[in-house]
Amino acid sequence: MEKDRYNDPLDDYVRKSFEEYEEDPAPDMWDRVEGELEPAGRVFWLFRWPTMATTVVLLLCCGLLGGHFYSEGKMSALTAEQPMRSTGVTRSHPVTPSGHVLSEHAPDRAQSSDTIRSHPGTFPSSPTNAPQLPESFELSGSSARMHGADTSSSSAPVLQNIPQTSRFDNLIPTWVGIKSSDSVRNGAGIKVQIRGDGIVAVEARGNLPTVSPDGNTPLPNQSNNHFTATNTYPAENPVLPNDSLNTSDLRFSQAPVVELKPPDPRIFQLETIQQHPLLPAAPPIQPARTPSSWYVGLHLMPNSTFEKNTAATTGRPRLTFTSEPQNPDFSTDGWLKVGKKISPRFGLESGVGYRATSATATHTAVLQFRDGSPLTPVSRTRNFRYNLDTYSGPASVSLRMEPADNGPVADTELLRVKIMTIEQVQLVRIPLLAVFRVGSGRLQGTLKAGATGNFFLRNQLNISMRTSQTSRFRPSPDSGSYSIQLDQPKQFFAGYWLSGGLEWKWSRHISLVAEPCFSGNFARKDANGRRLPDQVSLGGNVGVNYGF
Amino acid sequence: MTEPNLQACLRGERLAQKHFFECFKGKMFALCLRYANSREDAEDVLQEGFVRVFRDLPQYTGVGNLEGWIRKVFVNTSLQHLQKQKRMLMTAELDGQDIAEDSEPFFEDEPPARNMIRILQQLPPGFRTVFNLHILEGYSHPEIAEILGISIGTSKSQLLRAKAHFKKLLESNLTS
Repeated sequence: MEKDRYNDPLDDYVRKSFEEYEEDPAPDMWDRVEGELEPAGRVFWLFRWPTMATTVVLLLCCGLLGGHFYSEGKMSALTAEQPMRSTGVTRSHPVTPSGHVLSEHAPDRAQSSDTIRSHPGTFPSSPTNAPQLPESFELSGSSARMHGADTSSSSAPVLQNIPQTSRFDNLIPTWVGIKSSDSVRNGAGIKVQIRGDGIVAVEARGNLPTVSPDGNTPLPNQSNNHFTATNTYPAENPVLPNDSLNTSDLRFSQAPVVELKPPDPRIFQLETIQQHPLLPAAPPIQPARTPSSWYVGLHLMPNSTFEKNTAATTGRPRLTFTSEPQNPDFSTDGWLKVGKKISPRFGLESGVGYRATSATATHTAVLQFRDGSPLTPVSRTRNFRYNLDTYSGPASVSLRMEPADNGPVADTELLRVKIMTIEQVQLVRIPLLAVFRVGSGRLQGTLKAGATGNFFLRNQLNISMRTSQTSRFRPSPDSGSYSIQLDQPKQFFAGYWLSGGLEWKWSRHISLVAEPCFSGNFARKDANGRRLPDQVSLGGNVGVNYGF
Repeated sequence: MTEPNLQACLRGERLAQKHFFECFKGKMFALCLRYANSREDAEDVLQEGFVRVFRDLPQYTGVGNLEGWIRKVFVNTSLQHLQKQKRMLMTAELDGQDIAEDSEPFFEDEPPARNMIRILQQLPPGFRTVFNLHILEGYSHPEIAEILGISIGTSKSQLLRAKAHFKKLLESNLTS
């Protein structure tokens, strides 16, 4: 850059006058610039910290509730098993198809139960009175008690035609084809494999000649009516043509068969059953329930709220004032709380609370006449804009003032305007508190401390009065001559909670709580780094807890 | 005030942009006032200038003084603003007929620069522009000629006339 300046004293004077000279533009200049800028790169909503904090709190609540219901489910399961144990009746006892268990006086009880216990398996998920099936059972000709004569072989047994309700073959699907009147030879038998809630396969071995319908007389041509164990018929496809039953080959299942010793066949004898009549299963005995470590509560907290302001009025980058409440605000918070006792001494408590306040605050705006923008080039009425920091957040105030007389007004002349505002706030509060209990018995002392998340449900500011404190200026009476608007209020802010009091157990489930409480919010700042007014609340938290 | 965080400004972080604005608004507003016809015009130029600065900040390579680069943006913005107002009638202003006879009073309690801004704003835009570019921005006549699209001779003559009028107004203000 070529320097061809003259060494004119005027040039030097002008240059020196403008060196380091700065002048502030209108207070709302940044707002105007910001309005022209492209929207800033917005963080994906999921990663904004209020959203994350809310998510964490909700997940915590869900986790607590889920944990509760899980433990409740386990309790129910244990309760359901209790009757069988308490009555001494095990699932290994012989059970008739009608769901009755044989009396514990049955002679084979010990043997049967021992056998079944050595092969624990899954029983059908059926009602208590439904037939209880072992994993498998076998009935062979050598172990079954047989009745009737076999004309061809003295050892050929024939199953007694005993009443339907006590016959083993009622546990076998009809497609097996073995009827109550079937006769069984020595070495022959059937084996039923049960897995889950159904019969998987039936295995037959040896010759199983059928007998006549009367149950006692074997058919003369037994060889034509025998069937051998060479086939497996899974339960998923339990179809056997009746006509080919006697000549079909039954093949053993490839799946390993858990063999259990059959109950003593004497139990199938009519005499035995008559001597030991079936007894219905005893009704389940419900165990005495003790309260879990969870509780919910309904609490009220009358409180007085105080506001404290630590920020001073600043002129940069824009005139900023802070509103100050006239009186403490009284309100009553409502709380729904849920908590868990981790140990007799320690626990966690959360919940949700609601607070509604309406406070009157004032501030005095001290402005210079030149801070205002004239409505028109010739107008003496000027619009003033400044920031106002409130508990609800930073706000922008627009105020129109005019000279009270026709005298000249210097740019530096001061205006003092007292503004009264009404601040209506509705808050949802979510605490997460650590609880410490002292003492034992019905009366316990509690100490709670933790953090709270606070969400604005409603946040409204209105100007209720404008008063000029100088005689030179007055508020413009025009409509729309003033306005106040919150600047992008933050919907979430964090706070703290400290309380200590007493909890009295009125009954096994219900306890009463009374505790003085002190709460407030952590420091917040506006966009310019100025600290916003803080609120502290002093009140008493009373309520009822229900342990379940 | 701490140095502005350019990287954050480039990312569009509003807080950093605001800090940037706070750092330079005073100097740039004083610059705008020297070129503009009124305070309102200067505020318009200031607003437009900062928008351009944030928009064109990626073009700043880091070579040279940042303030110098910003100043250049604001000078260009001021000139374009004057051209928009179609008041850059260089030839018509050579006569200096539209120079206000009634100048505003000179306030002794205010800094000299503020009073000089008042005087500058009474000068015709053409005189004011050459005066600013040459004396306060340090541009040579060939550069001014190129920037304004006038001849070098016109630039020189306008500067002489501008200084004469400025001196006259300054003296009249001081004597009053």
